[in-house]
Amino acid sequence: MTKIDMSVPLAGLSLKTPVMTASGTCGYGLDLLPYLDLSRLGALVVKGISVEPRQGNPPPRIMETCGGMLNAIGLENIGMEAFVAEVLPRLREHRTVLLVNILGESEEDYARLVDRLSEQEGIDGFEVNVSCPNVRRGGIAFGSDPATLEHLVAFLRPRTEKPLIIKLSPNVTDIVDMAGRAEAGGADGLTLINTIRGMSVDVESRRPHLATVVGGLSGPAIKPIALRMVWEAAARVQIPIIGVGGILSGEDAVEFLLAGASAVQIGTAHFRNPAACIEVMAGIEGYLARHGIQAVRELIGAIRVDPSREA
Amino acid sequence: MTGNRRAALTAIVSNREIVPGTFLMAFEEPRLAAEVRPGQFLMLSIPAAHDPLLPRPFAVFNREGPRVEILYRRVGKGTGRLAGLKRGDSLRALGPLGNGFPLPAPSVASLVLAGGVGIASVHLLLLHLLKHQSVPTTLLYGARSHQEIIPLESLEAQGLRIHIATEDGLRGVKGTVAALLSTTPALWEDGAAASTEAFVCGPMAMLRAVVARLNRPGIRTHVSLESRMACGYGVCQGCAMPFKDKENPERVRYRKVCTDGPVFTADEIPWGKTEAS
Ligand SMILES: Cc1cc2nc3c(=O)[nH]c(=O)nc-3n(C[C@H](O)[C@H](O)[C@H](O)COP(=O)(O)OP(=O)(O)OC[C@H]3O[C@@H](n4cnc5c(N)ncnc54)[C@H](O)[C@@H]3O)c2cc1C
Ligand SMILES: Cc1cc2nc3c(=O)[nH]c(=O)nc-3n(C[C@H](O)[C@H](O)[C@H](O)COP(=O)(O)O)c2cc1C
Ligand code: FES
Repeated sequence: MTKIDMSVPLAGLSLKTPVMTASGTCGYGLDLLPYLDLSRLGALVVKGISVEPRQGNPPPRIMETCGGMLNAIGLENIGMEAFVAEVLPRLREHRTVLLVNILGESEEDYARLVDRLSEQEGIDGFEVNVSCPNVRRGGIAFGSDPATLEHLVAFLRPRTEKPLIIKLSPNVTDIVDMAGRAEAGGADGLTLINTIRGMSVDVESRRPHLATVVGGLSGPAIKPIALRMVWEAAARVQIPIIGVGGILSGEDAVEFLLAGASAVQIGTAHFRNPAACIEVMAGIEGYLARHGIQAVRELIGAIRVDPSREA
Repeated sequence: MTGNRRAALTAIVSNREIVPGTFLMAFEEPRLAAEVRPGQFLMLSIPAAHDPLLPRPFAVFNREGPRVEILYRRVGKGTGRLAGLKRGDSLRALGPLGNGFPLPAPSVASLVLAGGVGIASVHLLLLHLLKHQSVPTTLLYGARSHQEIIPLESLEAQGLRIHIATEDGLRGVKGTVAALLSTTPALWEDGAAASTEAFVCGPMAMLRAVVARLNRPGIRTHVSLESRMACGYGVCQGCAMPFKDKENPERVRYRKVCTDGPVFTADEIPWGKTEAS
């Protein structure tokens, strides 16, 4: 049998496999090293970096819920300069495609991140987290107002030659509109989805389980929503989509590819198994072998939907 | 070396309720058994099950040859599932994780304090101390009821001085470990003259009470903390708790209980500000 081709092109990059890590679920990648050769990943997406270091939220920061978990980490990170000085040199040794997730509270924050990080060797592209509140606009998240989102993307676009991937928030009325706006602003790709806002209460103490009351839901519980959003967005935009939300197995990943994603990210599954990405890759390869498919690319958007049956 | 470590897939050898509500589970995993140091922990999950989704942290209670033993209390869904496992059932174990207890020089007196199932986290340490210390080791061990007290005769036979407190008063002194510490200072003051290393694990209220009483010259106190964990190996930041900032002790800084701990010295912890979990 011929070897299965797992490579996929994505936003000008050529990825060895369609499987990447999801931001915030593998730190800066260094804690994965004992378990995983980073060069086997399609890409490493590191935890969100801001201009200044962030402390994060008080505990409790996490709570398991049915089929998922809530988190309110508060985007704790070491900040741009420490990332460049301390982390990046170590990541360069591992020859992996590196996407840096960035977050800001103003357009200027994002611009400073893109400017500073674009000059660095070893960074292959940006994933822009737009789920943060925009302090200039009354704290409304960049990713929840269509015009604000398009303006941010258009503002960043000329500042870098590197791929700009916009990570959309699912906490919006119309995800398709947001996808279209990001594309119109000049994005090279989209990641769908970030966590869904949720909460949980301890009935004995009548207190919320998280110190911040509300947190972000991730894990298998959100997979059907993520999949639906990927499918709807894929029908609207030409740029590639990275699907993320609740993927535990190769079959889960194949669902996203069929729905139109060009690649997938693995998040919460890392907490069950540090080598979750490898497990998912093996699962995809097994699926392809079982179906006599030679290249994973053939799965992208290959969902069979009878047009007359669409809801 | 990168990439060659795995979460171990193993099978249960035995799993039985040794006192009401508390179970002793054993499995064979030679690498874990060889590598684990006192105070380190494992993340355990049931491979085929997705509910609960996340693994749970447990100390290694004991090791013998290739065998690893976990002592756990059934408190919720995850520990309920573990309690249902039978010989031959599969289990996923990631570890050993965390820093573990710093091991004292052989001539240093050690005082170990355990509340409830906190005994699980100090048991390997006790075995180490009994083997290596040239001076006697004392254990102060408390539980809510006499039924929860784990039999420790073999440690006693090896020379461990054990003092027990139960809140129902049906075993040892009536009260808590902290009360035991106050009412019988002679227990440890003879050894405390020069220097004593104290090692503590138990519920937050017990830690608070005990650490306050141990706060005196000559005693260095090491505390094994608990926090809700998702990953256990440093990637999620879910387990973070506030600790005193080394540069500015008035301020707190979040650190990860899983990889920076779970063992901290008592003076690193801002006791007034820490939320009991
Ligand atoms: C480093 C470390 C080592 C541990 N070692 C042991 C051990 O050797 N033996 C043992 O029995 N337990 C140990 N624990 C505690 C154990 O992890 C929890 O009891 C377990 O996660 C509960 O899971 P559950 O699904 O059964 O309970 P859940 O359904 O998650 O919760 C049930 C109840 O237990 C409480 N709870 C849950 N997790 C914790 C926690 N980490 N600390 C305190 N209360 C909690 C919840 O608030 C709730 O009231 C350790 C914890 C840590 C962090
Ligand atoms: C603990 C935790 C931290 C996260 N941190 C970030 C982050 O810093 N930036 C970001 O864009 N997404 C972050 N996410 C969202 C994930 O990248 C992912 O979009 C989401 O968890 C859904 O995927 P999953 O169900 O596979 O986890 C975080 C998720 C979790 C669970
Ligand atoms: S439990 Fe995930 S970082 Fe500590």
